[in-house]
Amino acid sequence: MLLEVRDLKTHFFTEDGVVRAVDGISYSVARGEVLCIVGESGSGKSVSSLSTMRLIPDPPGRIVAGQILLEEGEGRTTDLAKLDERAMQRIRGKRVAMIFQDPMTSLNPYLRISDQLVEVLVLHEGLRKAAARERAIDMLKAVGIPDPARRLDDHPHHLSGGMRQRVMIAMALLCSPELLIADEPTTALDVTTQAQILELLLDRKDARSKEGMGLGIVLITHDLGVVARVADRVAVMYAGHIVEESPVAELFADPRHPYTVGLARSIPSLEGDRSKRLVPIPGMPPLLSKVPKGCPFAARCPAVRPECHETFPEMREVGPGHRVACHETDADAVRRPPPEVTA
Amino acid sequence: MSEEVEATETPPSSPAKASPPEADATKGASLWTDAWRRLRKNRVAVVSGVFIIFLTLFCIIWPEVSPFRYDDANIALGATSPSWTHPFGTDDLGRDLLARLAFGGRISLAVGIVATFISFAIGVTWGGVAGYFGGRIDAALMRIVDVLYTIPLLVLVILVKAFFANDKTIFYRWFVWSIGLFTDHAKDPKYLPLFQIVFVFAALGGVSWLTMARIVRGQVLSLKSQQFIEAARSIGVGDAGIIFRHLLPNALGPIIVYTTLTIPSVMLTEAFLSFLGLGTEEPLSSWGLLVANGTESLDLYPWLTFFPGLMLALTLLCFNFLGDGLRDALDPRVRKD
Repeated sequence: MLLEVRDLKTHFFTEDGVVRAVDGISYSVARGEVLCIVGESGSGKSVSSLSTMRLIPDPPGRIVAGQILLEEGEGRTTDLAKLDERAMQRIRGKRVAMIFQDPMTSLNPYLRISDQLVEVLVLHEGLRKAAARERAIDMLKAVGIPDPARRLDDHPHHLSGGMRQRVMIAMALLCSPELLIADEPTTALDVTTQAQILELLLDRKDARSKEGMGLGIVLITHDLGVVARVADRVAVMYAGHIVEESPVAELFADPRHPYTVGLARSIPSLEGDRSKRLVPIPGMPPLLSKVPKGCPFAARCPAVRPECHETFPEMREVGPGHRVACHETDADAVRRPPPEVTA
Repeated sequence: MSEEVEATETPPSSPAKASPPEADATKGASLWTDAWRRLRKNRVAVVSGVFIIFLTLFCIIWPEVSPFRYDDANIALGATSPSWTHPFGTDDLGRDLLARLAFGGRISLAVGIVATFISFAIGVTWGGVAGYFGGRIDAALMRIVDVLYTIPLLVLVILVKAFFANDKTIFYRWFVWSIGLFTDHAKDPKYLPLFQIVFVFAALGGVSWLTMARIVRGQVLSLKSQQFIEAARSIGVGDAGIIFRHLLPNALGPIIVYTTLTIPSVMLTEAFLSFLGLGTEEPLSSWGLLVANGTESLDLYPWLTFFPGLMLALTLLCFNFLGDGLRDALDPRVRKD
């Protein structure tokens, strides 16, 4: 496995108490694979990815437990959770790269595109400026920026949102990283651009596979449409836990966690019966500083059982590569609709 | 004619060549070039800038070429109103006011610029470090600033002058050594007032960096949580790169503006201190000192107050206009005009 996260816990120590943003999650990504982490706002998706980059602001945040193992080859791994800042700086942008949600604010407004792209190459590959510019132009072309030689000396505010996200992707891929973490890369873009950016990501991944060095992608999103389009495997997060993990087709065909079921029901679809009303999940996710004992979804769960309020369910295997953390073992009970919401 | 033919022969490949202004727009002027262009459009700011440059040159050159020295007394002549020989008149000791104004301008402008430079250097570093590293470092540094804020300027100036500005301190030896590079009579007591002014510079600089530190800290705090800083980290940029390549250029706009506004405020404070007899001392002159002396005989020799006051007011006004212009020019919200 390219990246293996084991029992990662990232907590924030604030004045209001300990916020358990990520509370014991495990997942893995192989080369050439796209893992989607889905969940609603505040479920700990972004914190889990920032933990992998070791970009958690400290204080108040800290990785309190767990391992983040990056493959070194020949069966050896590096635990990113234990690296010092200097070693981590050599890995960021070089072996593990990240793209962010809002392309409008993730480029430095005072620097030209060329300055920001060249910076990466100078940092990690010690290239001279002229050589770095050549590489930057090639990469801009590869991410579909027209007339890259001219665009190179533009400032970010001359580019549209989609263009800027392409530049971000170019920046992330410039040093041929092994792992790409994309934190909601399409959320801030309009629908057409979204599709283009996702295509671009998959396209770059395939291009890298052909070169023989598979690129693993962790894509964070709250959009199940994106998941269906690009994911190989999906991990569903709720209140700092991964509650279900599965190959993508299986997750949509046979969801085993009531939260996954609820998520799927609350998404509109162009196909099928349009008169059917969307079913929201009642209630609100718990505050991460006050997660109750037991299963965090228990208070909103239509299939809740007494033990749900007592113990957090163990992850159990329900199919090949399909794991779920739920006390309810009956697949039909999990899919029971929630009680009618009375207005 | 031949140019026209060329242009029509290759229109699709090089539309930029055919229309230079458009090419300029797509070239992507840097924000600084943009700011400079907007500043040039601001007529008031340009006039102010030109006036300040002219005035500075005048203060530097005039005392060297003037027929009268700033301290040439002519008691027999006494105070005379403006005339062809003395365009701004003379004071009660018969000293040429224009020469004294030019020389005083040196001190007033120097106080403004030196104290502002001190405030810039300390304030940017202090606030930058506090804001960037945050946590305990921030708390410690900013509490020190809070404590220093409580020291009244007047008390500080009096204390500093009383303890350091005499010929028995080590500072005096440094001073003698440094002006010894220019003159053979470094110990001459006539240089003592010059020595004392240095402490006015230091005291004013020592007070005005506090606000600068707070401004820079605020800027850095708000900038460092922005996504492009996180993005820069995510490609492996270290602390130094983040501070100097990514944070400071973005914070520079407000810093520059505050700096240009500090210059007049420091000059005004120097004038105020001189007025109280705590700043520049005779026979040296500064605009504040000239105004102070002039007011003693305002009813008899009004020009002694009028001209220095006019200079001070004009300069302050120009620095304020220039600062305003810079703020508008550097504000990105004005960009899409």
